[in-house]
Amino acid sequence: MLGEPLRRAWARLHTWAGVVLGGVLFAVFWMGTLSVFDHEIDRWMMPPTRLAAAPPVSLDAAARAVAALAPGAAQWSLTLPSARTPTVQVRLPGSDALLHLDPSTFAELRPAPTLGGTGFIFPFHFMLHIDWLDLGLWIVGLCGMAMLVLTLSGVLIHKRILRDFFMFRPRKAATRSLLDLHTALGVLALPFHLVMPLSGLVIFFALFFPGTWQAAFDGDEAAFGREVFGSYQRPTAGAPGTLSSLDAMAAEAQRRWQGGRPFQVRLQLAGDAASYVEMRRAHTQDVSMNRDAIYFDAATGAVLERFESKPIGAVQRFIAGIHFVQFEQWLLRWLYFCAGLAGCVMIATGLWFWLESRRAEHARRGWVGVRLVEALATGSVSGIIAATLAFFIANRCLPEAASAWGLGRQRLELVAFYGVWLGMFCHAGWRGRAAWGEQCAAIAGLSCGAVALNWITTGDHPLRALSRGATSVAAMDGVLLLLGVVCWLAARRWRVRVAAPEPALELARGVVPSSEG
Amino acid sequence: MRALRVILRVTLAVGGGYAAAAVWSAALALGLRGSVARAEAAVLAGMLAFLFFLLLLLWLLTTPRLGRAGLLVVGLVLGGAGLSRVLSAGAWPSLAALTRGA
Repeated sequence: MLGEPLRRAWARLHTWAGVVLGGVLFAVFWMGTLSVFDHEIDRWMMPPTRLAAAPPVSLDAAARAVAALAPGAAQWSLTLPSARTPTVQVRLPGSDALLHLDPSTFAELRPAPTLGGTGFIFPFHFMLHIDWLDLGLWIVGLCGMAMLVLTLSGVLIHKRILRDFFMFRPRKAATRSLLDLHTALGVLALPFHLVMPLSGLVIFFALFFPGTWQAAFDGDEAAFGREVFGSYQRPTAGAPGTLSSLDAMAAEAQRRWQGGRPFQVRLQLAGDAASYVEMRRAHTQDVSMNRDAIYFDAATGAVLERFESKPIGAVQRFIAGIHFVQFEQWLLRWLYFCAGLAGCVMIATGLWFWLESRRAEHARRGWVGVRLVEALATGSVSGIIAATLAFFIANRCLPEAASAWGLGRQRLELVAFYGVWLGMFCHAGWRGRAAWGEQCAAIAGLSCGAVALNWITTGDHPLRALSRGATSVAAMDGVLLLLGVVCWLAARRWRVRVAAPEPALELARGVVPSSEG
Repeated sequence: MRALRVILRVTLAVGGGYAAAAVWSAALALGLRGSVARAEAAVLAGMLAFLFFLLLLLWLLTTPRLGRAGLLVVGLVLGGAGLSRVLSAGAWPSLAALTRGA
């Protein structure tokens, strides 16, 4: 049992770490939750790639198609179609863009330029799109540690956490019902809230604790990459070379992996006698996000090197797999999504509780704390949701060749996201407490608008999408409609609350929740 | 004064805790090198570093005796850095050698 002074110290830590980092944490959690379905979001944002399930693909035919697309390219990589991405994806040197090929005809599909879920939402989750000195990664890493601290301190401050878990009183005062919901969601998804930040941190162990590999490898980064991540290189021969059958190499890889299939093929030093092919093993059937790879001599098809993680490395890959959720298990994927949403609501209710429990006192003393935190919290919570919807709407509204202020269509989608987000912060600062409800109403309108625009611009309303097998599109539309309904109800309820303000409960300031009765 | 103490505490917890975790994980990676492959040593030390950092964070952010905690963190950082230096110079037997000796 914790002593009361220590419990108060934990409560203070929980409160203030949550208030200071809650906004960034929400952004990371929100984008992480969406990233569970980043490939499905890609299908929604890239209508030409909404294909039926892909037939088995001949790698040799794919290689011929890539050679025709980029004759003379010194290297290229292609990712084979999967249940979530039914296209052949090609990456060519000198371009960040991913080309999508129809797996039946190898014709290039040309979605309007967009970063989509995998190019914008997923990287936002782990690096906030701040590249400078890896600052975004470090901020998210700090948030990951903060999330662990918040979760553990949240558990430790409760005297009777199980009783609190079953205590949800929606008809009580706002502060009480917010705190009940915060606690219940925190306990319900407790393993998720512990495992996700920890596994997210472990993925980037080499960045956050570079001293470990620098010490073990005497600073030899190339050796570290080779032995931990299985990277292989050899110098050019300077003589012309050929490419033998990739399908035969894939069959050999499958035999060595005892049925495991390659999902990614990379050709290096193309056209040179030293050219080689890298095949990476698919991880759709395992939790572990393995780094198994086989390198073949391109001319002869002979195996040059095979990489498999050693036991501790395999543990790290298993932990990474838990976080990346790349395995094809739809029920688990939806559970991840729901747990992620529970985390978002938990963070938001924590912030709301802090605001509501201090509002009266801050107003009486003339402090600006509540007003400032409220603006930041509203912009961080409902603001980023509205911004995400603006990103989707911009994707459906902007013409393919759109450009403005020297920015292409892809960048204009980001302008919509950041512009709306900034606008939501300004709106929150201007409208104060009323902003929550107004932004919820805006979210309701934007989410329904996104569904309607998808219907208008592609003809895919949810039922049609479902009937032609585009389940990812139908599911995204369904989730958007549900979000719209929930936010509309929340906006109505918030209006009632703002109209009839209740006396604030003095629950915060380090007071242990369960001791309040 | 209270704000200064809060800033000091957070700086000590985040900065000091990170530094201590970094030097001790590097020392662990060096110490494990003789027992397991160096890739395994680096990965294991890297993963354990987060747990060590987390424990330090939780303790430093809540301990009532900030001065004593600060001294301990300085000691941990210096001790870890010293041990890393000794291990990297090869002047100290690896954990494997120690185990064999036992």
